[in-house]
Amino acid sequence: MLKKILFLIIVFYILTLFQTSFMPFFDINGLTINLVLVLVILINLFEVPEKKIGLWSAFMAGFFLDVWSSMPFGIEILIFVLVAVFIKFILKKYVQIPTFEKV
Amino acid sequence: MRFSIGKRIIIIVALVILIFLSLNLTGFSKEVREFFYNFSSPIQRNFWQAGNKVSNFFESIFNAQNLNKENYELKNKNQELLGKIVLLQELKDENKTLRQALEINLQKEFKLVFSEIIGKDIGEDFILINKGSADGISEKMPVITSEKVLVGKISQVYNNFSKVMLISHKDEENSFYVKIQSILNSGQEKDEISIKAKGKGKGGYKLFLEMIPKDREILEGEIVVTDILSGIFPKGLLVGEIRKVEKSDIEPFQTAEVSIFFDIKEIDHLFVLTEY
Repeated sequence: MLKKILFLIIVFYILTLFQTSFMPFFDINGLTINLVLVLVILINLFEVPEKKIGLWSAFMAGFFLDVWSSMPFGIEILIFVLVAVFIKFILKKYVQIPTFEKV
Repeated sequence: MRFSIGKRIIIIVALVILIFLSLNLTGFSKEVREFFYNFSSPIQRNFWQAGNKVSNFFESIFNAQNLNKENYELKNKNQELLGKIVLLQELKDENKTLRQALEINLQKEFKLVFSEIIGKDIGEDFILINKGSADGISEKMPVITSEKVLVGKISQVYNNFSKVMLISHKDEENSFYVKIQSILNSGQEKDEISIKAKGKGKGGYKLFLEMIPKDREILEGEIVVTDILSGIFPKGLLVGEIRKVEKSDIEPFQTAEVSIFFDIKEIDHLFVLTEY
């Protein structure tokens, strides 16, 4: 678990730098794809709903985006964790899809 | 002492809220941000340069078809501008003589701090530059390009970094007064007088002008510059050109969309006006 979290910290840190310094060149009408959010959604979608890595990912992703954001610190963490909780809730209650762990 | 799951969740949520409140209210979040900016800036600079190169490469491929047309148009425009330069040179000489006569030294128009962009906020129109309070920068200072095009103003200052709020940011306090010049971008002059309007950002690099009197006909391509009423911005900085005009019978004023002159993808360096 700890190794996975350390690995995700590095991944989200690099991805946030990539998002803030590389992606602005590839905008469509001033909007860019939020790769950090995409990764958090994918992790939460394909993880077993009972596991916690998705929530940790959301927290770390939110933390790094907060560092490079102009909004009050904590807003991105709140949004990302809520997204992760929402996905987990929907998957647990209504959807059955094959996950990495089960396959 | 054991707590039920519900109580535990409430305690965790309360603790998290407390941590974030203290981070924001004590200003410690500024130190956390600056710590990350300090050791990330070399990586960010490399990503920014790489992004610039890759986007230029793809742009040249996509725009290859339009190159001939663009080249022809630019040649024509260049000739027109050359004619204007000659005229302006004469005026400059005349102006110089008059200044000497009046003993006015306006050589020092602005005091500038040179800076580089290293990042952009994801959702909003903010950019991060590599100069901060250690270089004499403070909040609300205007930021321009080398062509005297207005980019925005300093909104947050760290020791070695600053955040720039672009003129297109939708913040209500970001609005400023501009002047619509009676000169078209093509160099032609119009018979109308210059008028004032209120510039207001809409986010996503979009800027709109409001409070334009209905009786003044606005044409696409008219140049927009900052006005003396801009407050924090010095007058005469280039802002953009009129792209689209919207008139309504019920509204007392007309509005116009402005195509801003700067493009952060094209800018290599910026200047912060510390004195003007």
